Amino acid sequence: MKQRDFEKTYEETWKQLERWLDTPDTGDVDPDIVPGLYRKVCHHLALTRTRQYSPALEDRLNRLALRGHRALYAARVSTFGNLWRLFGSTFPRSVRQNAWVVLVSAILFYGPFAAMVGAIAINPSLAYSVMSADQLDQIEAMYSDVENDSSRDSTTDLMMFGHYIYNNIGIGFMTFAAGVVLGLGSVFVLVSNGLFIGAVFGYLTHAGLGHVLYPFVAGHGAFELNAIVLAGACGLRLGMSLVAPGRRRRSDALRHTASDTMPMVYGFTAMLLIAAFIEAFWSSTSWSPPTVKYTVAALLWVGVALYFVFAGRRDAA
Amino acid sequence: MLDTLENIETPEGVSLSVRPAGIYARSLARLIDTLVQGCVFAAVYFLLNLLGELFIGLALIVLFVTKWLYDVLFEVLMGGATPGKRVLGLHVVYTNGAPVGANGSVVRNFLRIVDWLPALYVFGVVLSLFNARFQRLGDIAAGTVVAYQDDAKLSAAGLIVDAASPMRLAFSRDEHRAIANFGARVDSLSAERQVELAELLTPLSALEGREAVQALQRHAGWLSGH
Repeated sequence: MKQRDFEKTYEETWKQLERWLDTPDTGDVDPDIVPGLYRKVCHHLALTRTRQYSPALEDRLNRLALRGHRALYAARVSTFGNLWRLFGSTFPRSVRQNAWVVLVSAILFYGPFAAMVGAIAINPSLAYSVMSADQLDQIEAMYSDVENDSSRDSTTDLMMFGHYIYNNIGIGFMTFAAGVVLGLGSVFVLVSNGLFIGAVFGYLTHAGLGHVLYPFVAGHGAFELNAIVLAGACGLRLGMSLVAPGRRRRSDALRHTASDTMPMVYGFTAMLLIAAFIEAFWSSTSWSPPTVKYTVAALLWVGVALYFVFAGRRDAA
Repeated sequence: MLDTLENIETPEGVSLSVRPAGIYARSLARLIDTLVQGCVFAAVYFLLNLLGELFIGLALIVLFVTKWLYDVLFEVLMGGATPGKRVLGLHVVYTNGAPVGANGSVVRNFLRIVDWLPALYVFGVVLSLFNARFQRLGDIAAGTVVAYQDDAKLSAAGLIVDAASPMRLAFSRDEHRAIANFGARVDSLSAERQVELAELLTPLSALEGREAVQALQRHAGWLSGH
């Protein structure tokens, strides 16, 4: 068949697919015939190549087939169904699956934290090893202010909410992404944050402000601290995929691991959001006595633990 | 041929070609996106001065979204293209040609900070130079490619169509394509370069100078179906 006849015979087929791709919703082209049209165009493209028709025609059909390919093979997701699945089972199951990495990450974070608190209890001047005197003074002033005059209005709550989102979720993302540097980035962020928070804890306890600090952090800590641990675990897995790729090429191992960690990435992001909310609108409240704060905090910690141990077990394949 | 086409095997048994975008186009797109982000930052700063403390919380949330989720939101919701990529005619696709989804977009954009190291995307640029698809680290981890939305159309400008006629030589498919591309791009080349390229065929065609160029343009016109 000559190219001109070929074009004349099938022009209408190509036009139909083009029309559907340009305006899929008008009902001008019956959606049921679209897959058939697309397969025909693929066939015509192959013919164009073997019969050595003009490059211009080949380009046109390639472009058309490519657009059809994108339209037909696009992943269709229903966001809400997926969210339900994600938090109902995929996320907690993925955490259990990665229990060892999560444990390593937890040790890298809580270890330096506990060590720092203990060290400062023995020798308070050690707090100055990770923070400057100015920083420590500032933190101390902040908490003693709270003790003396604890009237924070709702504007400040909203401001702090924004601050926690910007700061904490940013740190979470950073902990995850930095892990790709052979895991070292995540280790660094985990250890340094552990040391830093440990120093704040140890120093304020030493300064006699523990009764202000503990009720404040106990509640949102359940979400915030553990979310950072999970972010670290995701980062460590990225790094490990490059250090020990197993039977895959390093690039393939990285790709598989990255998509594997996504449920945990979405999960820790949600946890940091919840933490920011609690921290801004509950932890800061002054009307609730410490006993109430401690009770709520205990419930939150137990709730988080139960969630990770039991959620999504029924769906196990 | 020296070309940057990437072939995608489809279930229909035909391979489709996409053209991954090079560093220059991607840098321009990034520059535009950075400017857009900068404008948002500036607008937030301006409003902050206007509205005062009441606005700080909201401002920080807007800054967070602009800093971390700008690319993800545009790529997932707007057909794989941030405003910068849209201007340059680029979009993000998976290496199998499918439109990028949330997972791929999150991975490639969160790892952006590593590609940026030590400054101005040096690591990402070096890595993508060693990669046939110009993938930076984030792209490799996400399995994505930044490609041209529409493969460059062959323009009819450089074809001589009123006297279209083939040269009596046996060309392969790739050679035909090279001649068609020559016809499409001839207007963007200097006269000397046109002659230089066309005279590569002199040993076979025995044509020289402008004559060789015109013979190729006529051949390209014939190839295009005229």
